[in-house]
Amino acid sequence: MSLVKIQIFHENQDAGSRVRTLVKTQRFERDSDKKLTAKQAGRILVNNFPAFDTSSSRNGLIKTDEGFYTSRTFEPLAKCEYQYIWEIAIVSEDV
Amino acid sequence: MLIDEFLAEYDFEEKHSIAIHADAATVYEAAQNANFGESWIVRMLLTLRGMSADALTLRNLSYSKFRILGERPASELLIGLAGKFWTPWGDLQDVNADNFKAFDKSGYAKAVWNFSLDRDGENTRLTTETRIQCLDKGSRKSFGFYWTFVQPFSGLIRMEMLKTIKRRAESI
Repeated sequence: MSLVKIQIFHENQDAGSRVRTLVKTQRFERDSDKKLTAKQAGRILVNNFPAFDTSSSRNGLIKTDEGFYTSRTFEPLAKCEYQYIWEIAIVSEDV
Repeated sequence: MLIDEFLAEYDFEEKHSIAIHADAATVYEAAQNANFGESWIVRMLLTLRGMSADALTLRNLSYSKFRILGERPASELLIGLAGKFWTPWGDLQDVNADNFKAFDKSGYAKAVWNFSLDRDGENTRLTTETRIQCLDKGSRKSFGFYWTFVQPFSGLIRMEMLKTIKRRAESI
């Protein structure tokens, strides 16, 4: 048994400065001690955060230094209808 | 379209498109999360330009001086940048959605680059267009010379990006 950590961030580029805010961290047990793969990370994310149930998540998240990554358009900024807050999910092994 | 709103007048343009067998929402989501570094051609060409191709998504591009100027989900995403693209490091400037239209520094050029989606029968047509506006005569001459050599590779990168998005969107 090992633990997987999912962090959800909100991020926007208001006036060019990128601001990332952690909105949620959850840990889940997984059945295996083997190294987490992009596909497994995607499956765990989709099962626990259905808002990220997209073809990209199901096909495997992107490996980054922080963990496995995906993002989605969340909601528009109050000041402008074409600038959006992004919701970002990072899935990593919790060591 | 956002691209017209941000840069209606321009000196150079490049446009490519591809038909994708998926709905617009799926294609848009795939465009945001496709890792363009998966393509060895993109990886090689960006490395030659001194850019990292690790976890290269449209959103991650904005960690550099490329900025997402705006988006209309499932319709269009627009990136902007300004600099001296013909110099080795590009001298990229801090532009964003608020100051891009007003940026008019002599000796520089500014560029917009979009991904837009249209219905095409049962498919979605994904188009990417790049527009460059040079901000004075000197920059127009320098960019024109640079563009003669770079345009074929720029086109190759964009076509590879479209193919990466198509693969991702169609592999459900």
